[in-house]
Amino acid sequence: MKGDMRFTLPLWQMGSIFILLVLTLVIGFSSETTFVTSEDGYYFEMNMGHISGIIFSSALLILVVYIVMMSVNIYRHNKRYPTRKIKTFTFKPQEYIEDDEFFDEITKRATKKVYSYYSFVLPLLVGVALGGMWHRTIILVGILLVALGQYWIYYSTIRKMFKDAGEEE
Amino acid sequence: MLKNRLKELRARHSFTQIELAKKVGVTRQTIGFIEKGEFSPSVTLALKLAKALEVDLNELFWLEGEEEHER
Repeated sequence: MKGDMRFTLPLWQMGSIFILLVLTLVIGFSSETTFVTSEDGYYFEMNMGHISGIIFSSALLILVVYIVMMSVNIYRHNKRYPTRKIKTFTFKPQEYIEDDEFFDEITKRATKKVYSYYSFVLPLLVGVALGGMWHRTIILVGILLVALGQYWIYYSTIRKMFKDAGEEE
Repeated sequence: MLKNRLKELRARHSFTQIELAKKVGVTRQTIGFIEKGEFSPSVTLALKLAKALEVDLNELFWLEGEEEHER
């Protein structure tokens, strides 16, 4: 399955979540945000220190480059596999692989693991959020970490199944 | 566990995994995983494979431990 981006899509998602994590931390802990309503309209200002500003700008630039790289790779994948296209705007997760009954089965096993993970981690996250006066950034970081975990579980389950059977994706 | 002679019978017909996969409408990986015993196919796919390889279903698939008694 070399070159089939549907297998590595969770890793790409993890990469974008990681960059969002950096942005969230910088905005949440190193910036001062002011919301202003005036006659001209509604806007907000964000002030941050020199180092934080550099980190924020760099992370934002990396995110833009990353999204472009991801889009190029999706375009290449779609050109190479016209019957297995990755759609950008859809509610269905594009890492699902349902080419036949075997792939249905591995997708089912991986999504089952993700479901078990969420049934454990979401109540935990809610409990943590309710249990203390956390900074809202901490809650956002928690949500992003949970999303990272989801993609890692999905990817590692599918990868393990292929490795166990002696086939690399 | 389901055992099979898929690899042996495929070789007898000189089919590659891709050719057999095309005949029965699945991916090459599926054939490979069935041959290795990593995946048990549905009844429909098992019947299609038996038909493509021109054998009875029980010559192609059987349950582990039953080979001495049944075959």
